[in-house]
Amino acid sequence: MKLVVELKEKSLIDKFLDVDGFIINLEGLSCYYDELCPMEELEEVIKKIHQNNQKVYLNARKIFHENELDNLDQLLDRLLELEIDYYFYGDVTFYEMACKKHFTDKLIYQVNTYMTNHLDIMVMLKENHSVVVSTEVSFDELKDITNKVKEPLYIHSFGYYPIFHSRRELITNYQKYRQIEVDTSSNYDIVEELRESHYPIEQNENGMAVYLDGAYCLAEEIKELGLDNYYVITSKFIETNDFEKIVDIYNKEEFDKLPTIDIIYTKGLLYEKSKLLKKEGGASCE
Amino acid sequence: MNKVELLAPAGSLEKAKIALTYGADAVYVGGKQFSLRARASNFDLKDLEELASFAHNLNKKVYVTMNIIPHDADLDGLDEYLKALDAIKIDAIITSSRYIMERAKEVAASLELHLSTQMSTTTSLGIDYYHKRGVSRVVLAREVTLCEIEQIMKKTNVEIEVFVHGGMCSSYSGHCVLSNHMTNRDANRGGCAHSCRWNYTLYKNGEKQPMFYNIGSKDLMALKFIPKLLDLGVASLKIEGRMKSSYYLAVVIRSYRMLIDAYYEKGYVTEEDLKKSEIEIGKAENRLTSNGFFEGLPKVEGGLYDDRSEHPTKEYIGWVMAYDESTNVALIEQRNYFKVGDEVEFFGPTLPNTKMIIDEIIDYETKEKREVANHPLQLLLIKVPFKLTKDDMVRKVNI
Repeated sequence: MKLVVELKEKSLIDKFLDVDGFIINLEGLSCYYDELCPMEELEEVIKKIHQNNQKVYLNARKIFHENELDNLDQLLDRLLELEIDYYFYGDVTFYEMACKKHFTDKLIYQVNTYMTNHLDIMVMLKENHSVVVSTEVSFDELKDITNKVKEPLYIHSFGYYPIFHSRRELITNYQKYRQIEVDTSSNYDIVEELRESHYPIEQNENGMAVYLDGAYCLAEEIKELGLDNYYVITSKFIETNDFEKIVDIYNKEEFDKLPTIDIIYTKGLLYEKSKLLKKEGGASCE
Repeated sequence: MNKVELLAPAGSLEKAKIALTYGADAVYVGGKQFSLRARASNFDLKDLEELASFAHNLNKKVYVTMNIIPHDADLDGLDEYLKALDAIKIDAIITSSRYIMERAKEVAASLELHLSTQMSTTTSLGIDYYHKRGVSRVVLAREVTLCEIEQIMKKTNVEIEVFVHGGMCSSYSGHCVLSNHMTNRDANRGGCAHSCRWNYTLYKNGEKQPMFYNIGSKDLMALKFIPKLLDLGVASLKIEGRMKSSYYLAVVIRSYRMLIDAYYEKGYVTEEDLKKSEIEIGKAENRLTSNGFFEGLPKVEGGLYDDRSEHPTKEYIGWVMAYDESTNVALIEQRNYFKVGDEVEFFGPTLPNTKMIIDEIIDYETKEKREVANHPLQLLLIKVPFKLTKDDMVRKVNI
């Protein structure tokens, strides 16, 4: 199975020799990340991954704003001197930059909420190396998409993913409103007043994000989706020991061992049916 | 100098006509398919055709929202729908799907493509990307500050549309699926349950915190930024709210219309002009408002906490159906309770706020006198000593 795994720690490079590649997170470029790789260590990390004949994927999923474009331009000039194989991105600002610098063949489009049908995916495939399928589709839809597209796709198969992303500093603002100490570095999760699930939240330089109430887990289902696809595993909110075991389980396709690792799993919307009706009022688009 | 477009929402044909009558230069509406707002009385093709004809006769425009993030099953019948919109001369579609854009260019070439705010476009490069793919107008993300809009406007010739009033997603639009995961209602397909407005308990390092945690946003009101937006050359100022009432639309649209016209007439607006528009909007607005991102990242005052208020507005009491100049009698359709002796205020697209006391109410059907008007949609005759026009409205002064 072709696994693409978030690089939680440098030391894991030599432990995960069977994975296809590593996702590296970088300040100023990444969003929804676990650990950032310091810029000064990046070259060495890339070299090490390539020595093992594995691919380097960079998380470039930040939503950019106009006053950040010069920095992005300069950062990309530095990165192009390194041998990064692919970039996951979600803001077409990044695509336009890549056009200017002639590396669109290295781009993998990923917005978890957008790529929900095979026709939009095929449009995006024409101008990108590949696409990550949305996590908002059911398993039947996912099978349908992979069957119809007939090209290897990237599929999020394990890990917490964001279900809300605001530019607002929603932890800071709340603490100021409540007149309590501003502290954004603790671990936070929220529970809706009529529900029981805990949703981790986090505030950083990209704003505030709410994550799924457990580690999304596409496991046995992978057999039905085919082994040509690339299966993405992320490490956020997972302890290193557990993460090592999980990657091992995916490598060996021993999914029956997942319950032996004590974390909260979820199938997300894989087996849920959407209802389209809404209540009155509220926010907010056209 | 191209004048800015004031763009209003409408959830029904009646509301769309009111919006255009009260000063909107264009309206955006949802069709039965492909549109967010699953319960916003979406238009069938016959309604859309009537609306397009009504708008074009006034030299105004109609845009149709096709802004869902579609799943495969949602795309059935797409080509036929696009062709039908083209045939009835809809001016543009507002969309977020690259596939819908591709098909529209192929089968409905005269439909303009406007990029939905669902795509959260925040930079001039993002605008360039979509322009190269056939988009003639980009609705900016509401996360873009006024300062950033200014930078963007210097770098693009593409038409830019900016939200100025109404509900705000707390997240980047299109990037929130709280509703999907908490209620199975897909926010990106018209089912948003507004989970960002609910109360949450916060846990810090596993420990329950004593007070509710909230992530909701106050609504946007950008009156004071209108002069700057006009100076920057923004093409369209957009009001949110396809679920809102005719009265709300009339009041809000008229207020922005007055301010925009004052600016074009004088080259500036005064504090008094701004105050006047704000007071007017206050007569219909039932939610808390803020400046959104115009002045930078919203701080505490931009959020909704314990102080949320969504009180129903009862000022609106009637809609003028006709006026007989020979008898000075108006035919009014009742919308809220009122009675003889109430002080009321008429207003309209061309009628300034004009007050009077109601001294007689006559039932239009029975011709009997009434002390109170307490039946919704009842037709009533009221003597009004100044000229009214169809579609003027009347509200109570003190409630």
